[in-house]
Amino acid sequence: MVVTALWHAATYPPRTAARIVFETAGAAADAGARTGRRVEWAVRERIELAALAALDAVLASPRVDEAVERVLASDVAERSVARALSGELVDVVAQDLVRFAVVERVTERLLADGIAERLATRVLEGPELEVIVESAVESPAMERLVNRVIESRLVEQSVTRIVDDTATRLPESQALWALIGEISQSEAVTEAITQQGMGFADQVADDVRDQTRHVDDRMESVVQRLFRRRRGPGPTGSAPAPAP
Amino acid sequence: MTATADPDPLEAAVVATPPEHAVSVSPYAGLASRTLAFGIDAGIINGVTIVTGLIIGAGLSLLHVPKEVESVLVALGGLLAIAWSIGYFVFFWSASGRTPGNRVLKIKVQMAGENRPPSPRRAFVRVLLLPLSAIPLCAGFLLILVDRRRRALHDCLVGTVVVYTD
Repeated sequence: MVVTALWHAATYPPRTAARIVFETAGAAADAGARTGRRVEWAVRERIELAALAALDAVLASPRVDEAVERVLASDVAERSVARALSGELVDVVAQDLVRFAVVERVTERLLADGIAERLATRVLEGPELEVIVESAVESPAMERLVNRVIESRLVEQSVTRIVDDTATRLPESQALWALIGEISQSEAVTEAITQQGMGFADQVADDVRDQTRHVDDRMESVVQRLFRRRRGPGPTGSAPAPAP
Repeated sequence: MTATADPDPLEAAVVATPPEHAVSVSPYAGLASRTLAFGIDAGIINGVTIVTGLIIGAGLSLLHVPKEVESVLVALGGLLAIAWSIGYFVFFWSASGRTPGNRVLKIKVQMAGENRPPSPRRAFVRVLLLPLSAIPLCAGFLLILVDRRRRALHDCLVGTVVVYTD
């Protein structure tokens, strides 16, 4: 192509020859640029494939896990997280969460799909909640908390006020007296009171009976000792003294 | 009306009792139980007598009866009170051996050697002989303290004993 252009330049008039030479040079430059791009693209593709192959080899290596463990065991990860949390990252993330309404959208999505309902059902029906509640109730911290609440002045004042109000209002309640009258006139209550009275009378009678029998025995033993003393020492036996 | 010599199965319990428990497990009712039961019966009899006498007296006070008739009525009331007292004991002793006072103290009158209440005739005689035990400074009742079967004088004469029912 260059030879042809030189031929034209030699054979054609100068202006035409110059134009032909410039056009020929431009075409040659374009061809070179295209060739360069092809070569660049081919080389880049080769490099990328090689990098992916190297990454696969690294990930497949058993050393990767060990390396990750070592990184996590070191304080690098902790320092990194601490630095990230202490920096502006959290504020930025929070601002973005608020600005883009991430929480609202996630919540709406969860509610719309019924995930929240299923999650609540799962939590309520599962044993985890019971375990958590049980451990919380039986924990010393909960006991201390409850004790502090019970012993607090607010609770004491509230209880006192409730009791005072109740004691003041109850006698004024007509319904209460009607209820008391209804209960006191009920057959079950009167029967219970009667039975309790009879039970009390029986108990008193039993006590009196036991005491009198004790007195029976005491009086008889005293008289028997008196008779033995008057008669002098004799053979001891089970039979009481004969009647005079 | 004489003391009976019938073998009493309850006496075996007294004889077989160990010396240290000879008194406390006697099946026969003692003086205190019998006295308290008699006191309860006396209270019932006197209560009924007094209430009845007050009602009759209040009724008669409205009629303005002559004084002679009033004396006769008072004597008649006294006789009725005595009859009521005697009838009370005769009825309960001959029916079940237990007066209301005896029921409270859980004791009963029965024939010696037999687990049956006295007949009405014996019960009547027992009531009549009851004052006999009280006449010589209650010595007839004190016999309960020394008798093997805890019998008073009138029990010995009629042939009855008083036993615990439980």
